[in-house]
Amino acid sequence: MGKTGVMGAFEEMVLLTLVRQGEAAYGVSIRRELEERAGNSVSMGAVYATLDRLESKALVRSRVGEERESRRGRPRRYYTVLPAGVRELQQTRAVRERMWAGIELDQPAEPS
Amino acid sequence: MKAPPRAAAWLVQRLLTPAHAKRLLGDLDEEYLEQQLAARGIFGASVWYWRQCLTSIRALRRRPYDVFPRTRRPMHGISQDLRFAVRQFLRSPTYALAVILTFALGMGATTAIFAMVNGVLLRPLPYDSPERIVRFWAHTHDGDTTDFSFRVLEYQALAEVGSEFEYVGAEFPASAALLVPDQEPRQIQTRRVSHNYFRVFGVEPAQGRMFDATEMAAGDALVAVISHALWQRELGSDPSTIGRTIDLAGTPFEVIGVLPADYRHVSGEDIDVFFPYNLGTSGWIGRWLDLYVKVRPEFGASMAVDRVNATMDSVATEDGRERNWFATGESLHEMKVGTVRPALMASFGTAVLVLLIGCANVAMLTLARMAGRSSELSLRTALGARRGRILRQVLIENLLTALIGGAIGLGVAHLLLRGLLRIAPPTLPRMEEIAIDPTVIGVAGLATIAIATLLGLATGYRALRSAPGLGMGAGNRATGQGGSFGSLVTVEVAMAVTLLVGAGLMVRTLDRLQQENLGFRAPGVLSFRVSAPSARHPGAEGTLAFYDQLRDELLALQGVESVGVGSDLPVSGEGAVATLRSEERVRAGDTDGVTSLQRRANADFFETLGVPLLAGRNFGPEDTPESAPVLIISQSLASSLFGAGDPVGQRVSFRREPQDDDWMTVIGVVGDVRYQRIDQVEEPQLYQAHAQSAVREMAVMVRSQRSAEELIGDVRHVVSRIDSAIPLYDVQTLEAITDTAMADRRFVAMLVSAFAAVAVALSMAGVYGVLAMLVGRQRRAIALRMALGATPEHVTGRVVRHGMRWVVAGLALGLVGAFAVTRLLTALLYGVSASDPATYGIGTLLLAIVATLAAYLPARRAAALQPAEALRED
Repeated sequence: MGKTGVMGAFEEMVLLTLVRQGEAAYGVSIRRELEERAGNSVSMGAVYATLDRLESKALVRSRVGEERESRRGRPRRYYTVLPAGVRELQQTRAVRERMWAGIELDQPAEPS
Repeated sequence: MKAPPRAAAWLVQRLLTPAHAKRLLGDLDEEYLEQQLAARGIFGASVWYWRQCLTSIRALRRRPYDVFPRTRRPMHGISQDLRFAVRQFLRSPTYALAVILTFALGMGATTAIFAMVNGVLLRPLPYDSPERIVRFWAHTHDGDTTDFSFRVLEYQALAEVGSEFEYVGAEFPASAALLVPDQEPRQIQTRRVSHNYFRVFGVEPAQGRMFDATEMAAGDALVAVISHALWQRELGSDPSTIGRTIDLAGTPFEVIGVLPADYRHVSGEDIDVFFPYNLGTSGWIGRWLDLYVKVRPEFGASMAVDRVNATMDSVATEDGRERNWFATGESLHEMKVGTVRPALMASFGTAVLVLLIGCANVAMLTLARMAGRSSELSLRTALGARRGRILRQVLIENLLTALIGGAIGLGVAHLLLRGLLRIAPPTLPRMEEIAIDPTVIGVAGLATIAIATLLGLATGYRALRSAPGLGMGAGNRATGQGGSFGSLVTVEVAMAVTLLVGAGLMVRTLDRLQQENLGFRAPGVLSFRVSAPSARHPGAEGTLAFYDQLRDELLALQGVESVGVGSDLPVSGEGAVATLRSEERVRAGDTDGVTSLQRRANADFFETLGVPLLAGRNFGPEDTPESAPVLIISQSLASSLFGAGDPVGQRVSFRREPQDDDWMTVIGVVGDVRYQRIDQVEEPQLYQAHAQSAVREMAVMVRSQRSAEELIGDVRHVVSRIDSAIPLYDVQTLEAITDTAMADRRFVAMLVSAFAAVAVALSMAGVYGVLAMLVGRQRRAIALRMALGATPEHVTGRVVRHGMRWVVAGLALGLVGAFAVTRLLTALLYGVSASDPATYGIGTLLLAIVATLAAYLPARRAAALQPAEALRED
């Protein structure tokens, strides 16, 4: 997180997804949720690049999960948000809300 | 179950780290199989899978610590790389110098030889549409390989038919004494040519005009077209030359045209005067006309050959002769350069091999240096430099040295070429066209860039693999054992042994040719040609009287032992051919006869040349124009005509159906002399007595104990005293003639030997350098071994054996290579087979000995190590 106290948009979206999914968040579920909520196609690689970054900043942690036939010897890896991650999210939200305070964009001012 | 696209998964595994690939593919496979297949169908799911893989590769390939922003401009940082390269070289100038010098010498030698290949073999001939000009040869059907020329009737028939032919040109070689007032008489080369001759080559006169058909048909038109050189030299570039006359051996010719300055006669000789061919001789059966034809573009060479053959047959039929002849065609290019192609290609191949050995040395130097820089590379990688960027850096360093080396190499090539042209065989055609021209420079430049790029990529990639901390290979082990160095040394040794064997074969060929009995004794004989002009020495009597006087006066000179007069010199490749038939066989109905070289000689000819009289008698004073015609034949002709029978006293004839007057009697048998080529063994020869068949132009041979330089002045004096208007020409010693006959082989032998020496030196530098580097690197290991009780002999043996493993592999590979490559030399070899075991053995042994020495030097250094000191080093 830079000087602004706001994390990147995609990092924020991934973290929020983890919070929403709790203990059950892994690659496929995170990617699908992001795609459905953001309405955009999302690359699995981008998800992992972000998860790696978050993990290296100690905002999330991961554990190896169960095996499935369709994965052919490559077990799931589940991701969970750490307390530090939750704090970052709160801070980001606080900054955002302060920034947004008093701004109404969906009803542009009528010419007087 | 439908499996996800395998190629996409393979790409992911190839391009991403295993940890990334494992997670990613697990998730993608699960989603593909459990959700996407059902949702999108097999095609849609596959597209989805591919997209996921490709976008994921993009997302994950970026290094997490890539501190330098990635740029999309490929040229970004080139100047930075260049400056870095220059700094690197200034820091280790020895390395840079060694690489630059190796490149300069390798490229220089190869460029010089390539300039010769280009000038002689590759550049188009300086004529209009040279590819459509065909030279024809006539041959008999009796299996004789001699190339004959064409009859006047055949030329006339071809010139008339001519639908396939744009132009038909014929020429007949001659020479004459050019007499210019107040100048020494000079023998010049001339040609009698048909009126279309110059059209074949697309040559237009620079001044005046060429002959026309009427001048040719008339036969007695005293008109001449002269060369630009003659116009400049003898006529002083007179602008009103057209209409002037020149005096050739007493006959005035009107100059009607001057050829352009850049015209070169197709033979490469300096031909100064051209006359129209005299068609009054059309009834002659003699084959004197050299035929050049410009084939129409729409017809192939084989159709042209068919047409010439058909014409020869119909001429023979009309003339009532047997159809015993057929024609072959040869492109002008082939005719001019075909004979020197083997020598040039062998030289070029040799130069390329040396260049390759040089490249191997450069590769080793670069690898050794890169190994020394591995910590720098690791640091740069850790700081975020990508592999591509490091590779580019190595590439730029290589290009820099190669281009500097290549530029110096052009200078080297220039000097080398000057030297090469000095020692080049005088028989080399198109010598004046050999130059380091833009083509040569362009090819050399491209080759330099290509070599530097390949070397840079190979060594750079290799270095990256072995530099630690790059996650690209198993550390430093390969260079520790000399892995790639070892294979480079092996390749070098292989190429060196190939060259050594090639050089050995050529040297043995020269040796064999020098040892060879050519049928005559060359040392001590000076030869020259003269022609007795009919104006002042009329008829056969005049000619004979001239030569008798000349012989007597030359014999009177101090130190002269004998004076031979003959129509042709040995190994000169010129001369007439005739078919001889024996009486016995003609009476038995066999009129085939034996095609033989037809020579004329006086009685002293054989003694002067040292040709042994094997049976019968020599020509003598009793053989006169009035006495019965006699003949001396060579041993091989004797056995072809008479088998084991005694030839002396037998009657022979040139005719198929001889009349009583046509018979000649064999009076003697002499040894065979090599006339045509130095390496042609069996050539049946017959000699007519000059006294019975006088010819104006003869070669005079003087055997003397005095040196040629001393003698020549006296000889000139004698000739001018007899007739001051007779020039001497083709003055040379017989030794010079045999030398010239071996010149192409000597040239190749010198080149290959020189290149082989360089190759051996370079490859030995490789053996030495690599072993020295390994010993240096393994000082501690060696010291430890010695501390634990290894004797110096043991250490020496170990190092030498280590090096010899590569050398022995190289020798084995090289023998196979030599076996393949020396096939190129086959055309040049004489008296030794291309797979001569002795030469292969000696070459291998020689290289093995030198290589042992080269390996022994670093081994001794290793053995001299002080274990205690070496172990104390850091």
